[in-house]
Amino acid sequence: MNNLHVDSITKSYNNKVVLSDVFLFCEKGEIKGLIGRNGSGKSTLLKIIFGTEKADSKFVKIGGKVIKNLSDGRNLINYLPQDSFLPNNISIKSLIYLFLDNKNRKVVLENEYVKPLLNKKKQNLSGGEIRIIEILLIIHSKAEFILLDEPFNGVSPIVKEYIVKYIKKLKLTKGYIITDHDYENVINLADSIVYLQNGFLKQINEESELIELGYITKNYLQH
Amino acid sequence: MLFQRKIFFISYFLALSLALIIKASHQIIGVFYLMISTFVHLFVYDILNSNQYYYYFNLGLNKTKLWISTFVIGLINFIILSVI
Repeated sequence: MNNLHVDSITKSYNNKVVLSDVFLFCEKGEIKGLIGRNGSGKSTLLKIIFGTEKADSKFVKIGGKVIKNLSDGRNLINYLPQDSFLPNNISIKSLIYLFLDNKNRKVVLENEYVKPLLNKKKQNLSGGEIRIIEILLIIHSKAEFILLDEPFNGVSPIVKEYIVKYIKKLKLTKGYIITDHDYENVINLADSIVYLQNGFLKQINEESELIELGYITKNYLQH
Repeated sequence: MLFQRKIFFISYFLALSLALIIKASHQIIGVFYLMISTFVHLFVYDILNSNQYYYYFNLGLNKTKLWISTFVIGLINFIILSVI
């Protein structure tokens, strides 16, 4: 199960094509950055790969296994949504116990950011604290491919830096596809970048290509 | 099961309250529970906290399985209360 192969993804809403015959390939040990303007379909693409959003057509394969729905992707693909997904009214410790197996649980329970929060409930935590717990849950799950949709939402710069280093440290064991509204976060983390525009996915080799595509300005790049 | 915990307590409380108000027999509580739990599931998860589904999706549980679990628990509860 060393690669994630996404092919022929087409999706349209009300006759507007959001994704057009999208192809994406990610290997274990690789961090693929997915960028694009707001509303370009980045989250939709990740949800289709994960299996929670229906596509007009799709082909997702991990290793030799074709993933047709959410259940097929169990322990193979996990997805971090943009907004918080932790259930409330239950302690963080219990949520970790229910979500992770023995081996991975220990690492998260002993994490410096998580340890002081174990007996608290979601409603008593800040957005940044919730986010780091969610990221650690997802990246320490059994899944071999991790889809991170705007993981740095509401996270302070110091925690952001910690997460970037943490993912880089663990990247050999899993494959990652990451999106973020701040493209610098993606550039810092990703081994390769793909840009989604008008439903088509384009491989980015030089940052200057993003100027030509109208994603950033020349001044932004110099800054 | 974590997912059912919220549905169970809220639905049971409402079913019992309704049965007490209309002075219905305990068998009817099972029927009320079955109906109310469907609405509680819809309200708590599909309307109020739809993003919480992702916790369960990441564990390989899809919406169909979660809805079936709500219905099965309601049915078991109904059968137990009918037999007593």
